Amino acid sequence: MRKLLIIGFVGLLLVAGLLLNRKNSAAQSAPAMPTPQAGPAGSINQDPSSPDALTSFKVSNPYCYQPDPAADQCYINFRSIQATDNQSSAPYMTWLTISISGKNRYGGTAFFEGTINYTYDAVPGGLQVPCGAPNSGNAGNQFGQVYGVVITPLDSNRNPMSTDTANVTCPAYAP
Amino acid sequence: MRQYRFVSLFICLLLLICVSGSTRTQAESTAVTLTVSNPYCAQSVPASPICWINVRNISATSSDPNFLGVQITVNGKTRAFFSQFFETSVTINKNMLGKGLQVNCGLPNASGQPDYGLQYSVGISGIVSGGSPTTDTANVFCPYFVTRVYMPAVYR
Repeated sequence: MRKLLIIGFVGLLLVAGLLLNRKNSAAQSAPAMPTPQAGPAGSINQDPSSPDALTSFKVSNPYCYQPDPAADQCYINFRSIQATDNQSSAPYMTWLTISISGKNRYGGTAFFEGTINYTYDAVPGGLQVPCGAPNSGNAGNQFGQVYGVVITPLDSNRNPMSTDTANVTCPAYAP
Repeated sequence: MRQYRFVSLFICLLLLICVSGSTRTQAESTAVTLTVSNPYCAQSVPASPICWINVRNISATSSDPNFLGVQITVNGKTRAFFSQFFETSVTINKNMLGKGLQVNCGLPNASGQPDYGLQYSVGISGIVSGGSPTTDTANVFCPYFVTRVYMPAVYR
């Protein structure tokens, strides 16, 4: 009977030790994830001549992804963008553009409305760009190009009312 | 004797339960709160060797001013990076990645599971500049792909 108790006790100790080790391992054994080198998220620049006309301008979660690792094709998109004009004083917001590397890639229009909304499904899949070689954007070897994506609400004379520039980091193309 | 056998069997059973595989590991960091739901792999065309990995939704929140965003890796290769733009959170849903992240489905039993193809390690990390990431790692099993070769009928 005593031997039974000893065996049972040793077994319980073993089990407890394994459980504890597993919990600690789960906390410590997470794979080392490459960290993008620190850099600014971007910049916000509001036109000083129209601070009252544009009441709200929000850009959320710019991102870049690589659907096929064998192709040098990445896609940039935003979770959402929203620009709102008070419509009570000029200048009035008329367009919203998204530019990548100086090239306009999206143009939204306010159609008798004071708000332009953009969500990721406005451009299914996103805006295609080259991913770039590892570290081509100085963000680490897991990453390729870093694009400065410019989002600009424009007034009826095509003058910028505000400018947001989001630094978007893309995965590397490393076949 | 019977009691010895019973106790030994009981201990063996407990050991088996403890060493069974885990499909998720998480390193806790106080800087980023990370929530991941339903990573999955789908084969939209059964005659194709292409599968698509995606996640139903991901949410990362941090009050740390050095919070950069969320990184998604597949078998250690970075496939997506979601930034914060003067925000304290990143929210991702499955529709933001189009069809998903393309991978090879793999042959039957390629992962050791007879009804599946390859297994992929999908890493989702909340990244803080100069700090430790908060990482969730999910083991995702893909449907298998079977090549079919159709021989011509030859009449003599």
